[in-house]
Amino acid sequence: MLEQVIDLALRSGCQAAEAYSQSVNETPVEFENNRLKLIHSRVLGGVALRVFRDGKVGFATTTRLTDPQLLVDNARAVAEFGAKGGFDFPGLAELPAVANYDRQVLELPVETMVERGQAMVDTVTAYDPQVMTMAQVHRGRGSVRIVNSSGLDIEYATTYYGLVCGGLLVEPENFLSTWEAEFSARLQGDPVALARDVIAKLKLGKTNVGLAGGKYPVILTPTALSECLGPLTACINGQAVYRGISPWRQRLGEQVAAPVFSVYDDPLRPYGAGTVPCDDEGVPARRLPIIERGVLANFLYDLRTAAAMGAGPTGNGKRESLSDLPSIDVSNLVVEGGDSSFPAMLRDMGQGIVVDQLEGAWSGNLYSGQINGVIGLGYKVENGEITGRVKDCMFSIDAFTAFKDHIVALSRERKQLWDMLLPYVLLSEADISTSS
Amino acid sequence: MRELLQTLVRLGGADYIEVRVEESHVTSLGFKGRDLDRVGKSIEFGGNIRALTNGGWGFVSFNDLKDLEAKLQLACTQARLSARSEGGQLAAVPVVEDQVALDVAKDPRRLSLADKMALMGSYNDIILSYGGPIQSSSVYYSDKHSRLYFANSEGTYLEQEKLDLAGGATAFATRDGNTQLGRVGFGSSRDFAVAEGQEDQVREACRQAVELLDAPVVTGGEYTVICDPRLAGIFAHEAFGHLSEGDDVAENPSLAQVMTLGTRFGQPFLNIYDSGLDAGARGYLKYDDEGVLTEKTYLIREGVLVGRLHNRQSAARMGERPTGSARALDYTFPPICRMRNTCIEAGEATFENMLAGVKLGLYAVDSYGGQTDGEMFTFSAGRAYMIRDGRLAEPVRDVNLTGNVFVTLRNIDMVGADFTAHEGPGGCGKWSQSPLPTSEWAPHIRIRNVVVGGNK
Repeated sequence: MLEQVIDLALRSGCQAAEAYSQSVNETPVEFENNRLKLIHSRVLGGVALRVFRDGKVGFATTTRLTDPQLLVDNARAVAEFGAKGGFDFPGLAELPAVANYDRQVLELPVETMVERGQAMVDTVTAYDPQVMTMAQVHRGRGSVRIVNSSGLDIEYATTYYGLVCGGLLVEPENFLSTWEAEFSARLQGDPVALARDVIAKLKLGKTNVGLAGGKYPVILTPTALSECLGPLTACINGQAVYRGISPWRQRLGEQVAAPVFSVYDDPLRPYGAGTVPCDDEGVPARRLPIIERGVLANFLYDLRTAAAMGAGPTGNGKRESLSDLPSIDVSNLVVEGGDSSFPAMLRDMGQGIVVDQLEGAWSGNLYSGQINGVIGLGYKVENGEITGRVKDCMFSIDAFTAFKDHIVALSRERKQLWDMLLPYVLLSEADISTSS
Repeated sequence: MRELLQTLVRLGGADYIEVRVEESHVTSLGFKGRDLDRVGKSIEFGGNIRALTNGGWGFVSFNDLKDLEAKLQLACTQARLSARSEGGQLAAVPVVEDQVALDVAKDPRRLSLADKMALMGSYNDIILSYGGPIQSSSVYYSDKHSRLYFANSEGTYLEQEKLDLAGGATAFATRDGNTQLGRVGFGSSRDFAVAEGQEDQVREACRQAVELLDAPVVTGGEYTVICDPRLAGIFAHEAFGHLSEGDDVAENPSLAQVMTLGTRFGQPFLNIYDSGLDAGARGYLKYDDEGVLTEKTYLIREGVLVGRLHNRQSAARMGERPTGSARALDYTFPPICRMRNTCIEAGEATFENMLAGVKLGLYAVDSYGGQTDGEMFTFSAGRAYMIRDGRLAEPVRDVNLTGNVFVTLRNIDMVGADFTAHEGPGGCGKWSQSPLPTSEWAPHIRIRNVVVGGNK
């Protein structure tokens, strides 16, 4: 169908055209409150069309695949009002080989998925029948095809497999909620081990301890770190740089973080959840240093922003959904590990806080660098040991200062969280606000 | 469509079967700085079949309406696979046949794309010509017109038309590596006019962004906080609305105990309800996505818990009535218990009453959004001012509020008389279904002992 769409677009007076199709076939199996609740089968697909007409961009999408002419008419009509183009669609280029497909994922019977979900529920329930367990087993196949009038014709498929396990313990005015998840392009992960991780957190969170507000050393778990990276990804976005709102816009080559802190976008990482051979505009994927030993190394660009900035595209043109135009995003965000470990950090910290789950840290003005989140799950540490759960506390850092001046150590061990690979981080200080 | 869907659900294979088809047309546009960022048209066409057997659901979603019988069989097989031994009935509801046409004031479909572009472009121009440290802008608008077809095996058949529109403008002020924002937003389910006449508000957003450049980060600690109606609405939504969603309560005995009807949660002047009846609100709906008529559901009346938001399954499990609260983001998701328009009812206090007697406090206005884990909630204020000795004082920035829902509801010590029906552009998220259009209307409220994050 894509060739037909391109052909129709060019014949209707467009000078260039790009058609992108995406299809998904996935089967989530969902347990809620200790019981199998829903088996879902999703078979979805659609086409997005981007055209240049008289130097302006037109864009339309459809999931009604029976009417290509309407898609073309919509894109063409919109182009009259569209943004200025200023870039060309890329031609055919050699794509890197990536490992992002595992046939075994697709061969997994639904019955086995149900068994694995049940195994997670049974494991947590055996620990404490009062805990309400949620479990999900996901498997799916996605495929993408991009064809444009510059001669590009790319097609690739990915698979993904994921396990999610969470537990909720409700006592009067005392809720304890925690979860663990593992996603990959291949069949990996042990449901029972994941459920045991949840149990470990439920145990640590069982006893509440008091905490006075003030400055504390803090260990961010990979989960908490993922909630604190918003300002960083906002500031390295080429469009925020182009618009002059990124505080880092003139700091390329400068020290913006501690020398131990290195961040990459690595779309080539074997079996990552965001592993792809090219971005959603057909630009070949490559491993891109973002911050190298604390020095700001690159901004991320899609085709349009790269052209506007006179830079080369970095392969970060991503479509958030089929109906969105490509915009800038990462594939697999990787923070390099250090030479410490979580147990060593606990020992080294002595007194302080472990922050694991943060709620609401994403909200607010990312460009200010200020992170504020309520500690959904966090622990007090005394004499190098976790003594109990801290509650009703707000965690605050200025991410720019924290990652530059307050990093004491990073752990060797890292955790894959969706499309991120992150270590534990020990910070010398963070502000904790509590009720008096 | 009717023939196709009704024939399908009569084929059987499960205790209960429903089918839904949706066709939506979306127009969206956005400016970022001087550049038009995007303009596009999307057609979203698809459907789903949901089957229930002994309390277990099978659900199949698709774009392609071919082979619907095979899709039905798959849904029924999945339902049997997830069937449980006990329970899982649906609460009885009237069988209805209805066609719900749009009741539109100013219809965005009658406006050309050029008109919408010109209006949003004019807001963008106001920001970019404001001068001073205003460095950039972001302006966006989208409207979605949907036709929904729904049939179930009990004989209900509905055809509904829906409209949702939303937009907003953000001004970015930048100085010395410090970037601050000011924002306006709007939304409606029936009237494009809400998008018009925002010029003064856009200029005010610019002023606020510039003002925040010089504002210090708030000092963390415990404060008496006066929330403006927008933030109060987000509070009702995050802190209490999510806790009232019946699917969680019904399946969790400990939570059901905490949420026993009749339990006191607040002072006698606190009333919270959730309603699908407010025409024009983004949370307006005549029928929910299980074909149940919506209603106005009181959650807290005179400080006491009196109700919750049910779908048919959670209502049956708790022996309560369905409230028309089953909503699905779109055809790719099953309906779950959701909010519609969550409101704090007007009280009697004036803003001056609230300020009086606050020695050191915060006036928090508007919101970037919030989150809850059930018990602990948080939300960020769009902007905030210190209250010193009963008077509004200097602006402060990066104000995030947190609290424990049970404690905080008890700590609401004043509810204003100035109930405000503001519709924002944001949406609500639950179990990966986001953003669902919801509304939050409220007056000013005052809360004692709220924890605010920030520097020490």
